[in-house]
Amino acid sequence: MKVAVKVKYLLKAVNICSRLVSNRSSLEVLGNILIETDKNILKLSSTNLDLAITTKLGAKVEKEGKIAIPARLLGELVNSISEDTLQLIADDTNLTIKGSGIVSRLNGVAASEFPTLPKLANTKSIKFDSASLKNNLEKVLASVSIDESRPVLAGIYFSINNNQLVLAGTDSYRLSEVKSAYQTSESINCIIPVRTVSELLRLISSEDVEGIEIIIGESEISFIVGDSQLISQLTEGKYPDYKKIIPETTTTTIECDKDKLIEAVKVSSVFARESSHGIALKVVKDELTIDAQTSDVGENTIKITVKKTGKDASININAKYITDILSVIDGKTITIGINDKLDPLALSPKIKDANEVHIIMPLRS
Amino acid sequence: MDAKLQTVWGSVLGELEIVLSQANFQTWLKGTELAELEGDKAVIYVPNIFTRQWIQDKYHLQILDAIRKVDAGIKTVEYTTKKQSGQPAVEADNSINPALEAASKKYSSPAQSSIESYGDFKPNQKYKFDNFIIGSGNKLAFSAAQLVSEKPGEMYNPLFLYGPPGVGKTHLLWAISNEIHARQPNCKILYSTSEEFINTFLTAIRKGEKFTDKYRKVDVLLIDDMQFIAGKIKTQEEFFHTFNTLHQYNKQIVLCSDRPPKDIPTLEERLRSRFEWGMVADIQPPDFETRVAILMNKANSHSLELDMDVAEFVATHIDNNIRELEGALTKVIAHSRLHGQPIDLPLAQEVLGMYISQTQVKVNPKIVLQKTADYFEISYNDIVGVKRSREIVVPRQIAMFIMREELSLSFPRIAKSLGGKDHTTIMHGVNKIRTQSARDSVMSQDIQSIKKILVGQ
Repeated sequence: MKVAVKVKYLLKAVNICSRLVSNRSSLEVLGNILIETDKNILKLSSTNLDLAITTKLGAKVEKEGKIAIPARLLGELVNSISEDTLQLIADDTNLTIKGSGIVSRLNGVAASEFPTLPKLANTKSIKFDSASLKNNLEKVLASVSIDESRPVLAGIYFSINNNQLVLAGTDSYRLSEVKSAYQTSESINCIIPVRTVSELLRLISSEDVEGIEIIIGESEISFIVGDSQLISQLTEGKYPDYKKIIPETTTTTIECDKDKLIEAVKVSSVFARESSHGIALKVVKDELTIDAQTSDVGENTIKITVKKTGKDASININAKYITDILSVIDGKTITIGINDKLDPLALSPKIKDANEVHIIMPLRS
Repeated sequence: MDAKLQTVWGSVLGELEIVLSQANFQTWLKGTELAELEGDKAVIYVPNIFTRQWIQDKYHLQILDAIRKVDAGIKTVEYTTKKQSGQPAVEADNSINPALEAASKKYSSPAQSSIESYGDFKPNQKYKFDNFIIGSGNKLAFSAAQLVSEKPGEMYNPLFLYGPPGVGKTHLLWAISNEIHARQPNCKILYSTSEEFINTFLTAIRKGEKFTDKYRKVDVLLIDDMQFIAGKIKTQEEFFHTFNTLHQYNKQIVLCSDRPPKDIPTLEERLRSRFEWGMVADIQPPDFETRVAILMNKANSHSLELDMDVAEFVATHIDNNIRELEGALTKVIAHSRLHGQPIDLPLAQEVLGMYISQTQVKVNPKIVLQKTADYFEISYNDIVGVKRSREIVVPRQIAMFIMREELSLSFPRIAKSLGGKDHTTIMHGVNKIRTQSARDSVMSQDIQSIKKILVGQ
């Protein structure tokens, strides 16, 4: 292999690929980045065997070839070089990097040792606006479980049916669902692992493109974002039937200013130090009172004016769950729906045809 | 995977393990299974798409070769990431124990309700280490249990507790679960009776589901009444594998039973030896001082002052079972509340008079029959005879009932004492009196009176 490449492109590609590389893997080659030529472009790939990422960059290819190079080494080197253009020359297991005043030789691994990235079969392809998809994914990500022991919950439910995209996430104590219109004849139901989604969101940030393409196969999914492609396994299994938990009507509905509520909950959180971060919400007429106390810390009461319809109500809830959701929810004014003390509480933006709803299960005491 | 496929795949893996490096073998072939072997086609299950691609590219020929050594008819090998029988690789997600669920979540606390368990389960807070009374008979078991809850999986694994009923085995199991949960809310704890284990296993077999996940994915497994696994060969085998998996990963296992492993009949040798690996601790019935302490503690939890002489009286007369001991105290307390009497020795003697005598005085069937006959003013010959008039039949059945309930005699034994009646006649009689006395207060009074007379013996 012999190619010439701009350092700034190489740097970006190496940084994107390095994110997946783990040095703790039992298979040494997974600590490497695969560098290969593909006609007149250069491709860098890495994988952790759950996810794989490939990114392309423009280069002047004089001689084709490929090699795997330890990611840490390559990253440290490229990040500290202040050259403009570099020449990469490789035989089977050595890579020589030449700049105007620098020559480095890196020991690598034969490319044949590097895992071949999976080819997707029986695929469906759909395109999205990256900004709105990112926004929607972040909303449901707030509720997704980080516990890998139940893979189905450590994933985002992704479904397209009847021209509607539905995203949902839950850790079984809270749930977020976002719907949006999406014109397509395809019907898709799958669960995307949360790690894949986080990686996708980072990729969207670093690639800065308007549109992304999603390719869904039988048990795998791929995202094409600008010059990069992310490939992941889909989570097998059936997503819990969560619809029944979303209350259709509520006996108490509170409208309140989001910023005021965020501030009130934040202040209360200081006093909600038990493991359940419990705070007590109580609404009487148009006044919402939030009480919080921890025996060895102290206690706090804060009141905000709201607009209430329906019955007076009170409910105990985990403050952290509320702040998580308030940080992603749309709108200046939000609606809180409450039924009984032990029934789920619903949060949604006060917008006409709001397309998102967040559910939090109350605390029993 | 059935046994044949397992054997075939085992030999294929054996071959590949020699050819490949340890790291390669571990990374790519761990978790693979032979899913299907039919006609000239073999289907191999691989855990993910990356593995599929790699095995296809790199090891396909080696795998094909190795399979053909076992089954020469195989021409094609396919790879799938989907488990067979439409069963996803991940277990269907609804069966998870809410307790385990609650314990496994980071921000959860016992108070946090979950979407799935919406309004049930609470861990059993009644049993803690604090309210376990330590005596000479249970000291060892108690300290072992405490150590286990401090360092699950490190100290005694497995911990095997045994002792007669009502000495606190279940109490210790729950105390361990509660303590571990309090220390490490993320720790996945599963408390189960061996009966539940057996049932879950049988249900899984019947539905053709994967059984292993629920029990093998926990950090702490506690199983009560292990002796019931005796004779259940398939369940024992399943438990053996569960045990091995957990033990291998240093997950704590706590078992209890009413007898030591070596005395559980038809327990497989390999299980027996495993049960004895860790710590086997016995719990003896409490001694007198411990019994008094238990009663005092129990009274305390009801916010009651208990006189020493009352406690000593109860402790003297009920001597081997804590459940009965506490039951007796509850009875005295209930009686005092009901009648507004203070809890003192005479009251305890009155309330427990019956109770204690039953357990102490040996009353034989003949005495029961004689006294019952006397009470109803009929002759002994009539009651054991064949007359079927109402005034004879009812006393006779009451006598049957008392013999059954109070002396716990077998039906045939009662039949014999009544002059060789059929045992089904006795069953009928006992059942009849049981239902009737529940409704008929006169009859229940009669029975009580006869019992009192018998106690007076």
